[in-house]
Amino acid sequence: MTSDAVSRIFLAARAARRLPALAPASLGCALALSLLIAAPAQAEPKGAVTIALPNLSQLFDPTAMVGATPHMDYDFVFDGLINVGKDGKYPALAESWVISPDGKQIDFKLRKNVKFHNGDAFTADDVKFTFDRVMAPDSTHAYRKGFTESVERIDVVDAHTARFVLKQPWPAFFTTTRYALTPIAPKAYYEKVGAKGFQENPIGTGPFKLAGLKSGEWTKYEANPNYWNGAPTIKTVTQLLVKEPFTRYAMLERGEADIVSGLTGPLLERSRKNSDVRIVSSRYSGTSGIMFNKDLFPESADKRVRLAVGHAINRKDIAEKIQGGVCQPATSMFTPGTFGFLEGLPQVKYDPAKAKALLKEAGVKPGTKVTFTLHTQSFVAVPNAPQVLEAVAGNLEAVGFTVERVSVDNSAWLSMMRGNKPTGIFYTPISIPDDGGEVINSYFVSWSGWTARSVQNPEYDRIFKTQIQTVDLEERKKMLQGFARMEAENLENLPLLWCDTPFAVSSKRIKEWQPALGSGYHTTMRLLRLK
Amino acid sequence: MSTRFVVERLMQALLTMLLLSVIVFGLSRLSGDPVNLMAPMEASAEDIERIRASLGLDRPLIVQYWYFVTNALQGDFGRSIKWDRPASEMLLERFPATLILSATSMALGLILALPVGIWSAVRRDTWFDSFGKIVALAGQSMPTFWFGILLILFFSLYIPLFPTSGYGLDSHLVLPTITLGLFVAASIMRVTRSAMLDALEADYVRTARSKGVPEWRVIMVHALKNGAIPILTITALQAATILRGAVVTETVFAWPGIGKIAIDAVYGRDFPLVQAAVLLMGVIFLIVNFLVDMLYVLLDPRISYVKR
Repeated sequence: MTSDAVSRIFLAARAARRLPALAPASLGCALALSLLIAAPAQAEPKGAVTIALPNLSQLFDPTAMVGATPHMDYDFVFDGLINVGKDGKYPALAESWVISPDGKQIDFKLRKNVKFHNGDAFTADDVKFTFDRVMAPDSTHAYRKGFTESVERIDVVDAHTARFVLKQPWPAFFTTTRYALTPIAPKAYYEKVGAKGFQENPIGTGPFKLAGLKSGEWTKYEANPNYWNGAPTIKTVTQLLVKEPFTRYAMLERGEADIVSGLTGPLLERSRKNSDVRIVSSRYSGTSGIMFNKDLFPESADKRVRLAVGHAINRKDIAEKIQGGVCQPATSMFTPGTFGFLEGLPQVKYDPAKAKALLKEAGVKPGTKVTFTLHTQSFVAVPNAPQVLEAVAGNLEAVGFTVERVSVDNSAWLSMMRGNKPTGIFYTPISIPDDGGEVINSYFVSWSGWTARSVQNPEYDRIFKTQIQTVDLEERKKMLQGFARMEAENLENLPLLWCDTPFAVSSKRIKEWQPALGSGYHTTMRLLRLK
Repeated sequence: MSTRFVVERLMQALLTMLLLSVIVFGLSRLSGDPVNLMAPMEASAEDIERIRASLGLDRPLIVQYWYFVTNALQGDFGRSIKWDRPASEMLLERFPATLILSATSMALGLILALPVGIWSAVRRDTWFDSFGKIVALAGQSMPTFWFGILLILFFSLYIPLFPTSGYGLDSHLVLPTITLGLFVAASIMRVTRSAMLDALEADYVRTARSKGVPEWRVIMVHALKNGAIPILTITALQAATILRGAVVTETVFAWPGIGKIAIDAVYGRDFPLVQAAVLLMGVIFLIVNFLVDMLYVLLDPRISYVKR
């Protein structure tokens, strides 16, 4: 996929579609996005869909979001100002917006005649309430920092206009799922029931209503027949927590589940061979890289050593044999689905002989000890992470390193990163890498927790700070592509894999369904059609 | 059986529970901080401290332990960090599922193990004995998760007789019961065989036979009663094994019991839920052991447990 194609997905208005993708924001220009809204009359929702999942979020308060995972629930119950679908982002509760000439004010024109599940009308008060809670001093929202750094305040101009007064221009709001998709909570209802009451009985404007749940077991949703964008065609969706991958596969084959996720390796292969099952994927939902702790592994300050590690890793075999084709070798930490992706960058090819030669040239003796983090749990961004990392460790040993494996589960890993004590060589995944600026923020700035501050490149910090305020999208894209070119030369981190999130779907039951582009958490169930 | 004996055993059980509470509390704290999973990477040190304080994790460990124990004595195990619900409530609503699976598995284990174990001893070194030994070896050697997957493959996919997973007091119960039951049966079978072999060679059995007592009565009454203590012991131990096995079996079959939620709680560093689950399992284990001690006395009057 070309960079232009990606831009097209994210940015070009798609008049032919019922919901348009986002148009480019530019200074002083009113972004009159085509508005949908007269959703065609639809048949009464009917039928039930069962999804077997390896994880169940069951967190419903969008103002207390802890990460991307709760979007598995949010997308049923809520809408954001912008939503994401199979073709990318599209205006949802905001039908259009106008950015001021200095880029520091955005007026969102809100959709009228939208109601919450309890019948209350959606207004600008709800938008202000939601973002005020996200940015509150005692908020634990995962993206609070991003909001508070950019947003001064939110004003209610009138019932259907919300004004974001910014500290600095913030074009990434529109290209980054993490900000734009913040689900809008109902002010009056939330204030009435409180945070705990809201978690127990959440309501939103979304296509489904929460119909019931058993903590840690299942969640059931029922179609919202009055959804502003047309009622879902299916009446109920049940998410089941089934930890064992084989059981999930067996449920699909047996007809006990209609969609399952988290299948890898032989089970994915078996699914592909099963004529009653088809695989649909959320494309480019994850990217990952190998990083270096230059304190513990000082030799990695030498670019030749980092390049040698790159040549040591057999990405192709890992992608094909361990990931079953779900992932592909990466040429950069940006994926083809990332805003700012640069096509044609060279790939660091698997070449153990060259790796050994580079290590020798850099004075790294055979048998040099290096610590390496082995994750015991997988990520949506990278399925089969434990096996992938064991393969990488083996590759490193094959070129002469003595690898000391440090096994960590997610909690231990996060603790390690927070304490700035990663192993000599370590690995970091990122989910939903849809905006180059956010990828830089996660992987390359000097203050990034995800790299345990192991990259200290002032030029990267400067690019990050400049691009984040660059309102002209084309200019910003060029800036990000320039960064990608520079990093391909510097190789501060080694790109590892671009991964999709595959879902195995029953062909017998499901006629049409495609998960969201660039995110394994947004499943767009509203658009699913049964046979 | 004296009152003193019962009181002594109860005191020992309480002491064991106290030690267990220290161990589970200490190990859960050593395993990591739940706030790591709750706070975003961008969170400041102040943010993290605020979350820790909201969970009471900022207090000294000894104070945390004191609150844990005193509240637990009142049936309050705190609220699950992940689900924000009382841990005791979450476990109690899952307890029936685990109890049912454990009971059916134990019943299946005993139904398989006792006849096969007894008959293997009676027909020592015959093909049946060899068969029994192979079954016992296989049952003990196969990891429960692997055996469970095999059962799903053969009896849900190849021959679609039973559902793959889920809860129900019908065919849903069959495969998890077989998975857990066979594992339990293997140990009981081996001990039953060896206990019966010892008993069948004892003098009282020879005497009974010489008196013309029917063979079935010799085996089932004279030998089995005298060989019952080791069988009872292994059965009680298997009660604990069932709880351990349930953790894996419930996960494979998505059976909504305490084992399945305990696994999630461990990965999520959900301290209150982990502590409550381990203590609940501990209490069950101690109750079973206490009952077995009582049964020993009934089975063998020579055991009085009273110091002379």
